[in-house]
Formats: sequence, structure tokens, C-alpha cells
Amino acid sequence: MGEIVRENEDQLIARSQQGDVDAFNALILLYQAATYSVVYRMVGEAEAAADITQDAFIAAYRHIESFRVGSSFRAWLLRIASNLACDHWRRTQRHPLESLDQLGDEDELHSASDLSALIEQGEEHNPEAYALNQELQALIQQGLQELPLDQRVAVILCDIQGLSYDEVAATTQTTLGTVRSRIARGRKRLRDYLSRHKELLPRQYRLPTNRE
Amino acid sequence: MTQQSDRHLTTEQLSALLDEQLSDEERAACETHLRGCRQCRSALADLRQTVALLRALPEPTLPRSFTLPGNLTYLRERSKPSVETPVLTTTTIAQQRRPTPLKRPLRILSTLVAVIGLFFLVSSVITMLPHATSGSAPSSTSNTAAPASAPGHTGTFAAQQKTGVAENPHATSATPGHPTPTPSVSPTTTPTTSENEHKPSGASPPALPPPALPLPSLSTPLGLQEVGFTLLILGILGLIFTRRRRSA
Repeated sequence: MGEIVRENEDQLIARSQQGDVDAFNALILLYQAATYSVVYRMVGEAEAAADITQDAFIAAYRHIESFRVGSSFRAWLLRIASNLACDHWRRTQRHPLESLDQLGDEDELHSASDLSALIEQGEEHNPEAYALNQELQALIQQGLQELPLDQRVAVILCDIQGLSYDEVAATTQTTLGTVRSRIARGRKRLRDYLSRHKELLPRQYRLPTNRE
Repeated sequence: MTQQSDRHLTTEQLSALLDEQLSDEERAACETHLRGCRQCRSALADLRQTVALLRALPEPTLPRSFTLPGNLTYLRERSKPSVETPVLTTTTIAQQRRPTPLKRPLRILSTLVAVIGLFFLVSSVITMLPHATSGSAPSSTSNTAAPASAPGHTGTFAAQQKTGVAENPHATSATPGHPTPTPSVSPTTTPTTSENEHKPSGASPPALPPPALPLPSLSTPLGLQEVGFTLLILGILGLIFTRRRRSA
């Protein structure tokens, strides 16, 4: 994030702390995509993710005075959002009926992805250029939801949102060592999940056999 | 074989190596091991692949904008700025604001009510069916049931007379000059014979209304239908209500 944006952000935070809703809305516009994305990847359900995201912004607005100027606003915001997402997950896990809806929501959400790009492309040299088809996206999402919450948050923040280990540690209020271990275990678990379901993967995504 | 000489790298080491989170010595050691160990190289490739897949996930499309309405000042908590654990308090606030713990039982309850209503409706339709095929409305069946039982009564009377006749010779032979036992026998035989006679005519129990029940409307198909319909509407309303609050 550039210096100018950063300065602007500090001003917006200061104005929000004075009770300026417009300033806070400017902050929401800056962060709503990232916040929603994290929450959606956490819970895997568009409708619930929207509710949680809205709640997170309201909660953030109510408590903006407790935000310490100088620390990362993004980490603070994502902490509120991911905590709410975890709460939601724990609540809904007792009712596994919900998981039937999740699969249905999957298809509507990522209609923009390009199927044909997937087939022809993709040597391992340039993995960023992959465009994932919908089944693969759904499979990864399902794999994320299999992770324990602490690992899931860490992997989503690091590998999907691109946060540094430091920022992940700030968001989850843990040490760098814990972050490192959670990310590693989460990635390994996800890899195992994907290789268990590799028959669903297009050929170039198929992982070689496991080490174990 | 140098491949198995060293201890294999841990997933944590491989994962940190991917993110360049290892110290210089650690990294050098890992790379030396990797050169000789095919297994760890493939494990590293697996992890790299997994991370690449995660990075390639598209950002989900925003369903709406989450900006707050301008008149939200009442939401502000005029608390001391030294609240050091905002996370704990935000969760409780969020739970107060949206009644999710209440919403679920409400949804389940209204679903239940709707199902019961539907059951009532269907059962009322089923009880109405045989009458509908015989071409008479449910209200008229109770009328037809009465005349139907009337011949039954005459039948029982005839039967009673027969038994009376059959028993009379016995009575007269046993105690001649005592005609009184015959009337005392006939009241005891009438209820049993009339019950037998009622069975074919009263095949549908709802057609014979027992009005002493506290819920008399449930005993007739029409009442069943009415109650079922009300319950169904109530249940659907409840479902719509809880759904709307969720999306709002």
C-alpha cells in the first residue's frame, strides 16, 4: 500500500474516530472486497458471508475508538471479521444440514471463470496464470472448510489474501512461530485433501503421490 | 545412496522455504538436502502446487456494498478508548444485534407447523376421498348415515325378536307361567347386535360426529382441512419472515 494511501487511511481512521460515518464508509470501500473474500473463504456460503461481513463493519465502527493508530487497520478489521466467521462456523457446525446449501451456492458465485483457459494452459512454470474451473474452485473451497479454524484463517490470510507472516500474526494475535506452523499444517492438509480427490482434478493439477 | 542419508525435511520447513521465511543457514541446509532427496523435492513441488491453486482462486464477487447508512451515530459506543480486546466485545454485540440463535428454532418450528398443516390437509383429503367417489359431500354423508343405521335398528329388532322367539321356548319350558324373563333378555342383546350392525354402515368414523370433544373441528374432514390450511399458512409465513430477516 502506497504512502499516500496510507496517510489518507490514517486521516479516514481519525475522522471515523470522531464519528464521521462518511470517512468510515470510505474505509469500508477500501476493505470490503478483502473482508468479504476472507469471510467467504472461511464459511463457503455467500449469504452468510455477506451477513458476517456487514456485522464486522458495524462492529468495527462501534469500536473504532479502540483501534490504536499506527497499527495495521487491515489486520484489525480482518481480525474482527475472521472472529465473527469462526463464531458462525462453530454455531452452524452443529447443524450439518447447512452443507447441502453450500454446494448450491458455489456455482452461482464464480461464473466469470474461464473454462477453456484451463484446459490448454498451465505448465508448472507459470502457475499464477491458471484460471481455475468451477469444479476445481469448489473442491479447493471444500478442502479449506475441512481445515481446523486456526489453520484455515492462517492459510486464507497468507495464501489467498497475500498477507505477510507478520500481518497474519497481527491479525490472529499469535506469534510468528505459530503462524508458520499453522500455515504449514494447513497447506499440507489441503494438499492431502486435494490428492485424495485428484480424480476430480484436471490433469495438470494432479499432485504426485504422497510422501507418507 | 545419499537420498535417504539425511532426515527428511518437515512440512514446516518446506512451507517456510516457499515463503522465504527461513534463516540463511536453515535455507542452505534445506537446499542441500533437497538436491539429494527426490522425495522432499516432490513434497516441495506438491506444496508449491497447492499454494499456486490457492493464489489462483478468484476473488468472490461482492453481493452488495457494505457501507453504513449516514444516521448511524447511535451505534457508536461512547466507551473509554482503552478497550484492549475489541474482538471479544464485537462478537457479543453481533450476537445481540442479529438474533441468529433465535432464528434457527423459529425456522424449525415454522417448518414443523407447515408440515403438520400439510399433513392435516392431506389426511382430510384422504378421508374425503371415498365419499367423493360415491358422489356425496361430507356433510350429506352424516345425513345418509342416519337412515343407513335406521334399517340396522329394524334389523336388530328383528334379530332380537328372533332371539326372543328362540329363547322363549327355553324360558317357557324352564319356567312355565313366567313370561317376564323375555323382556329382561332383550335389552342385553340389543347393544351387541346393534354394534355389529353399525360396522358396515359406519365405515368412516369422522362421519359420525362425537361433539363432546374439545376440538370438534378436527373430527370432520372440513375442520381438518381448515386447521391444516391455517397451520400451513402460519408455517409458510414464519419461514418467509425468518428468511427475510436473514437477508436484510
